[in-house]
Amino acid sequence: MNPPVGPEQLTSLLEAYGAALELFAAQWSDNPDDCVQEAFIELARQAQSPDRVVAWLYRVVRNRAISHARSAGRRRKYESAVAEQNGSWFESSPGSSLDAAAATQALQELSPQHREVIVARIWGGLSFEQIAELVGSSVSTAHRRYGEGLAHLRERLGLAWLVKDSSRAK
Amino acid sequence: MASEGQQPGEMNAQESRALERELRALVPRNPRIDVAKVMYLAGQASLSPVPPLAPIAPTPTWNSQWLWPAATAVSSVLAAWLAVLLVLSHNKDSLPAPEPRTVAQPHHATPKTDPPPPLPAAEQAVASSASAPPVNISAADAHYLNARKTAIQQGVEALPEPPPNSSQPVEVSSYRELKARSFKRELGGHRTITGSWTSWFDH
Repeated sequence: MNPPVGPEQLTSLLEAYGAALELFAAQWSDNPDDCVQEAFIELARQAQSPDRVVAWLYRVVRNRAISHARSAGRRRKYESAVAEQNGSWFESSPGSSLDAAAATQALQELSPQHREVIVARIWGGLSFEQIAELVGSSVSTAHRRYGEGLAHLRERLGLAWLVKDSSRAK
Repeated sequence: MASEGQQPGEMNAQESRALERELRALVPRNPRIDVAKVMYLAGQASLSPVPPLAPIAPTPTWNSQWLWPAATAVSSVLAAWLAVLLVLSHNKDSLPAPEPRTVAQPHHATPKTDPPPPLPAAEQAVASSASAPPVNISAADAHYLNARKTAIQQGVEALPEPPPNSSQPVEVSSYRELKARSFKRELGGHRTITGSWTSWFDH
């Protein structure tokens, strides 16, 4: 029996996964911070802590974000206009050779099914088993969507940086 | 660079790992979430915890697991039993009523002999008054009662033939006249009563 989540654990989870959860919720909702906030409050309300807290948080955030988008009745319109409202999903980082705005635009061009797998895998750190459980598909389907999404991002972002990086690795 | 023989759009494992590394280096935008507000609301929510999630819910006890199935089974058996009783009672009511059985009551066997000659009126009056309470009955009435009793028990044929002098029927029109004639016959020994019942009841 897991004890309930305490304030210290809640703070550490917020610091570690808050930004990634907001990025995940931004795929559907124009208020991703509200979805994340509700998910953490729901976590604090649980009498027993879930076995896999991070995966549980992603599932709750996903459900809340989709629910918000449906209640607003503008999910499809929002998917194309979210970049204009919120700008880039990423901070400019000196450790990456990718342009944040270009990466955001490339991600937004993905289908929602491919995009949520990419975000959950790369920035959420979930395993493919957890992703499959999260999106309600098989593990092989999650693998396939992930590969297809990466291939689209490579084509969209260009291969120059990847060729340079690969030759440098050799 | 894509390896030889690779389809356009496909990536080998090295390219995939390099792309993942570059994407992971992108830092998501700083969260807009208010940590202090979340912690405050989370503290309030922790005071009203919800039941555990379904996968970690406690195993139901025997009572809660079998209470309603047992109640359903008992109710079904009871309903079936009442239905059987209802059908049986309906069939019982629809059967024809049994014929009333004649129960032979014990009685003194009467010898099948010729009817005894009528006793004189005085003796019959004495005989009938032996078991009955003492009533002042005249001889004519005693004779009449004796004849009626004989007619009831043995039929009209058992009655004695009327005397020749009484072949002429006497018409009476009232009970009073009948009593008067009866009184006269009592003096004479015999009586014959004829007349219409309608005139009899008119008086």
